[in-house]
Amino acid sequence: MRAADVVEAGRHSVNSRAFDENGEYRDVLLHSLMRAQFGLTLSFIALAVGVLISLPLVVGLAPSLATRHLFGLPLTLAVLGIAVYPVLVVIAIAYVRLAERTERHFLDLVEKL
Amino acid sequence: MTFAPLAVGAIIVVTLITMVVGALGIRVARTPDDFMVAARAVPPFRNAAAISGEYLSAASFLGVAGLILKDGLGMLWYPVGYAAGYLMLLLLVAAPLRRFGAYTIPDFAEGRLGEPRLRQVATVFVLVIGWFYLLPQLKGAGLTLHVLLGTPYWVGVGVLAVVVTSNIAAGGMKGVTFVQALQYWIKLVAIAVPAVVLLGVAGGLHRDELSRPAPPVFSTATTIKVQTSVTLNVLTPVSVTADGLVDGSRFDGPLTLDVGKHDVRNGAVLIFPAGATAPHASGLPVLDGQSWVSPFVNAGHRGAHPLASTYSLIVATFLGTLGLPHILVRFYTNRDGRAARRTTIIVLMLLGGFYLFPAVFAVLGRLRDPGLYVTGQTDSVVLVLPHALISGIGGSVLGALVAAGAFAAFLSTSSGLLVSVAGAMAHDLLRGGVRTFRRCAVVAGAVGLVAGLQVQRFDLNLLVGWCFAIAASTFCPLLVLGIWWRRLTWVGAIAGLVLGGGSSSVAIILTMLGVGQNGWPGVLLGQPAIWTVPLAFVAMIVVSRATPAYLPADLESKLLQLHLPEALRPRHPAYGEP
Repeated sequence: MRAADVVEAGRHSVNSRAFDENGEYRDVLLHSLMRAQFGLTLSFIALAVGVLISLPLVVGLAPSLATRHLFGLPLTLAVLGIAVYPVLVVIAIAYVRLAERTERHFLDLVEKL
Repeated sequence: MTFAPLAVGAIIVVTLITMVVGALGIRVARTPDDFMVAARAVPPFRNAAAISGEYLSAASFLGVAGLILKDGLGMLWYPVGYAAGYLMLLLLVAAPLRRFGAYTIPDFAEGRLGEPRLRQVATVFVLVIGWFYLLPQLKGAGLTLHVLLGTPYWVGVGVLAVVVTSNIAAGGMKGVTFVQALQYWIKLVAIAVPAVVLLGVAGGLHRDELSRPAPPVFSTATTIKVQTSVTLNVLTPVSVTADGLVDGSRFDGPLTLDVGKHDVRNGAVLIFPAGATAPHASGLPVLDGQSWVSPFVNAGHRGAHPLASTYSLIVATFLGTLGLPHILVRFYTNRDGRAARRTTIIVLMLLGGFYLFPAVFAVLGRLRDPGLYVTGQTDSVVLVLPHALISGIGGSVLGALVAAGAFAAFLSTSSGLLVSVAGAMAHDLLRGGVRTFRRCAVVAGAVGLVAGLQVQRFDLNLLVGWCFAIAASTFCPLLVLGIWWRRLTWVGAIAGLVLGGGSSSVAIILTMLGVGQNGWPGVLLGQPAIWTVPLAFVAMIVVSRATPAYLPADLESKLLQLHLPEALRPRHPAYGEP
């Protein structure tokens, strides 16, 4: 996320009649935005949950993995104690970039109307 | 004990900082809005520190390490879930909730679905969750003062309840907001510095040391003073030197503890030789290394269905965070939806940084201080480990640091909770102003105090996990469906809140009363989220579908308020513009 983006989107206000009280495309536009954002949310939930719940599942299937070591630490400690946190942050940053891109595209679309 | 004065001094300093900054807030906190949510537009970084400061409670500071020590590395799912909850919050509610401009969950409920009765039901669950969450904070304070000073449990509970209640009644959240951000940094330093120093002193970790196939042993001859009477579960005969009452007889010399149960009265001193296997206080699972390093919740308990328990805990913690009333209030203090998203990312970073450290105490406790298994006070590992591993002034200084951090944790979380509970009572139930809020704060604090005295025997994280299960079964479906599903009606929302909240609360109360200790009843009542969360979602959806006549009249404008980016908003108070 560039600082310029934040300033730009925060200050500038789009002039469009599409969202006036009775703009004719209002509801259609809104539903398309909601669908796009919710689709994004669902795919990121699938990604995050898939990454996070795979460890117990994998070890459930192959119990001997639990006593393996990663970087000199037991697997559980290395994964759940350390590695998981940067992964969560990366997923969060990726989501925010895409969610804001969806909103920018939406603003572009509305501006053209 | 020799380390008490420094630690008490550190606790007093942390408490004074809280009270003084809270008092400074009195001059600016004049309207109900000032009391409930500090002036809006707190910058993301400070807001994130304040959210993290408020969130990292006794359960995180003391409880996580204690629980891992007792039940193994699978308990790392608690901190992972506490952090991942913010990812779910980011994905599902952060920006829309801020854009909607609702202060509190009851505000959101009524604003979105247009029914005052729904606000009342939501308020009831704000109170249930808030009070429930206060219990582990009060327990933590009781435990900390007991470990440091030997005071009875009720002293710490009383001190915390009185300090926090008077502070909130005097200044409200205006003063506390600033101190919450500061308290995050106090807590981080207070856990990180001792963790790193102790790791250095202990000489790191040897390969396979944790996963060896036997329960922990004493690496050096160890003297244990038993402060609270305990029943030891001896699995390998062990020869000790005893001074005090064991199994009803007075000993002053060598004694062999045979396989079986042995009662040790408080005041007794046991000296274990190097190499002896540590007997465990009854009630603690005796885990060999392989069970201890497994990634499952309750891996060492017989008939515990570890995979189901693990997933149920994941559901509760991932989805519970976004239903915590005192945390959601803070999202209102962001400037706009974009700032709310940025704040959440920073919260994830700050929590991840903090949660690297509790496991260090658990690992070192297991390897270097197995005496904690003998006394059974595993929740105190963070407090006592500095003294156990470092003698003299060094241990005392680090001990004082963790004590101060622990108190910062109790103070910040219980302050935030009390503001939510008192705010919900004053604002949503009584519709009063500042004076009502002050009175409600006193009442809420008193109720918390009485309940806090009853929960001494429960693990800190068990209490917090239950609270998350109730939040996940009530406000999570309300917010998720309210934001993303246009057909939600207030009738459906009430049905889901009552069914989800009712079933999870009943399951937890039954568990507290001792019903269903083992097998499937133990899992489904003790970790209810896996069925109560889907139940709440299904109830809201089915009942809403059956009651389409109760859709709010201005549905489209509500959805616009939730989802429209700021750049498209008319400058109008209804859209949450300042």
